Amino acid sequence: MFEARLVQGSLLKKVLESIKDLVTDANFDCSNNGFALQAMDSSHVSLVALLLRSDGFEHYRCDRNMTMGMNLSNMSKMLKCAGNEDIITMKADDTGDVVTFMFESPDQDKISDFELKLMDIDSEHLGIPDTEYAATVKMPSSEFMRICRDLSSIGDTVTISVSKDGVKFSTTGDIGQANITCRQNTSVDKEEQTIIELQEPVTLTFALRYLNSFTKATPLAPTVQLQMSKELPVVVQYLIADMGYVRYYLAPKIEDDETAEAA
Amino acid sequence: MGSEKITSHFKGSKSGRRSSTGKGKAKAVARVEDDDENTEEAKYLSILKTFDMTTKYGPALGLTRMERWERAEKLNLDPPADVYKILTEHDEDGKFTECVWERMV
Repeated sequence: MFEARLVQGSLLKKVLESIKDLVTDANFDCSNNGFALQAMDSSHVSLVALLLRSDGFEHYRCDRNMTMGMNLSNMSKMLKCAGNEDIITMKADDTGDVVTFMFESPDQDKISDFELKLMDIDSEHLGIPDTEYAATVKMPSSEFMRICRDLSSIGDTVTISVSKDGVKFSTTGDIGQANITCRQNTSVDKEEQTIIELQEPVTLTFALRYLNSFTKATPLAPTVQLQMSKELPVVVQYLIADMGYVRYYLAPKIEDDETAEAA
Repeated sequence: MGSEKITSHFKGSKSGRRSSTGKGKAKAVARVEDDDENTEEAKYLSILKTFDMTTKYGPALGLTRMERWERAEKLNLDPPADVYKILTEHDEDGKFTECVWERMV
């Protein structure tokens, strides 16, 4: 038996919006710890990891570990039927082949339930090693989204260079090139801050298409955290308050002259 | 310049596709199971141990787990069905049939 009740139902809707563009089918892992997902996009270049901790739910019960395979666009179709103020409850039997989403309106005068068929999904679970990253950048998530969007109108890839003064996003395309630098900024308002923690300067290049998909998680968190180390995938993390996180991993582009320069 | 795969950085292992045994209806819901026989056994033993520790099914010492399960069933205490299943599947092995304290006391 799996049961999870989330008073702030819009959160689940936002979570799904943040992953459904990247992944079509995915296995959700339900355990005592919480509701989790790890999935790669179809090209196996990026990875998304989601965790909603059990203590973040108003009610959570999971008698035994369960894997629920769902088609995310179908799941999203159902969750779109929930109002933003609705309370969402997910339910599944240990032996059943469906998951039930129940939506209660805040004044309890409307209750809807939607049953989604589960599916068998072959998936690969990747072990992500704990790494000390050379550079960590925290910045407003809306700013990051804006930068990715702006740069993708110029070029296909972005080179992110982190130094102690700031973080530079640059791209080159047919029409020209663009550079955006964000300086370290410790303003009073925490959500406006740009903070750089640096062991050593890092420069990596990524496909903007994926970063743009990652920014679908912007409504989940006011700040985004980028973690980078030379030749390792970047970690783009959005913390969901009191609940968990959505993390994206993106492998860097292999650029022969770039790596020669760096070496 | 090419895109490197994320799998060249993080090592993968298959998961999720394993269907639970038995009931055909359960096909779509795959249990998280490990390929390793030993961890499977450890999981079963842990379920049985939890059963032993559940005081509501009555004293555990001096009778087999199956006897205790049947007594609980007779008294309508609703003992877990998976315990019964594990016990019937492993009715030869002392590790499974006897409660955890049997050899310590």
